[in-house]
Amino acid sequence: MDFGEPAETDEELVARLRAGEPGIFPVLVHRHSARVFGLAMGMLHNAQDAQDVVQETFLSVHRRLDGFRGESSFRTWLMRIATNSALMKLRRRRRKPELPLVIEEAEPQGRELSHEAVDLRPLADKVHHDRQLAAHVRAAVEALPDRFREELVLADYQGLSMAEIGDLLDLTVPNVKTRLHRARLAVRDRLRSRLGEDGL
Amino acid sequence: MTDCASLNEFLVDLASADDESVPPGLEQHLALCEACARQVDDVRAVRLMVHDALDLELTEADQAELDAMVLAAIARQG
Ligand SMILES: [Zn+2]
Repeated sequence: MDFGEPAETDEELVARLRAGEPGIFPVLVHRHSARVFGLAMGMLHNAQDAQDVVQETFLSVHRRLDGFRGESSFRTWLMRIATNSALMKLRRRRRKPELPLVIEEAEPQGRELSHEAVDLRPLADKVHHDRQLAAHVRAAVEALPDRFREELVLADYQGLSMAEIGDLLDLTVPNVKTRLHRARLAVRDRLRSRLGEDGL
Repeated sequence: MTDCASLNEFLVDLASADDESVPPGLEQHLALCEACARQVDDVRAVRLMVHDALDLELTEADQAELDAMVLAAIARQG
């Protein structure tokens, strides 16, 4: 399918859409749906729920397009709607009180050493080519308690600033930073442990 | 003064960083201290991996299906 001039910005597309030009909305959907899905999967780790979020997000965008004032970029506006939709779903779904995030303590001698020996640095660029590694990373993210996972996804995947995340989650910036750091260390430790077991 | 103890504060910033620049004093320390350098690299590696792993959630065929579903829902809404 041809989605028009690659250089055309979202904002230009929105202007054409508002001018009544047909066939524009599908272009916007195609441009952003994978990212919205990735965000929702990261937060909800359930494909059905993530699809629902994608659908709700674009329905909402479609309904509210007249209210888009261009104060932020279209993408920021869209991702904010998507984030709110995913957070609402997450909160509705929460039944039991959350366990605090426990950074795994040092394990018995020997095992600990083998985990420490797992070097993550050379793996950083390999996720795109290594499905198994990508699955390990996702599993490590999924294992986080909801509150830590949502921050990690908002920061690392969606690229929101600390202030934006604080705003969305009603937290102070230092709070956001501290939690995010703990979440990232937990992912690191879990990854090391899983990769160590795999003998990688 | 910059030593291993000051790393943690920097890591908290780095983990969340809008700005990744390393303070000059710490940069010197990182050049000398392998343990701290490794920690910084690990945190950066995790950030990249989380991003890329989530980016891979959807195949092109899946996305085409998802797009079609979204557009159908919008058509129903009118
Ligand atoms: Zn050090």
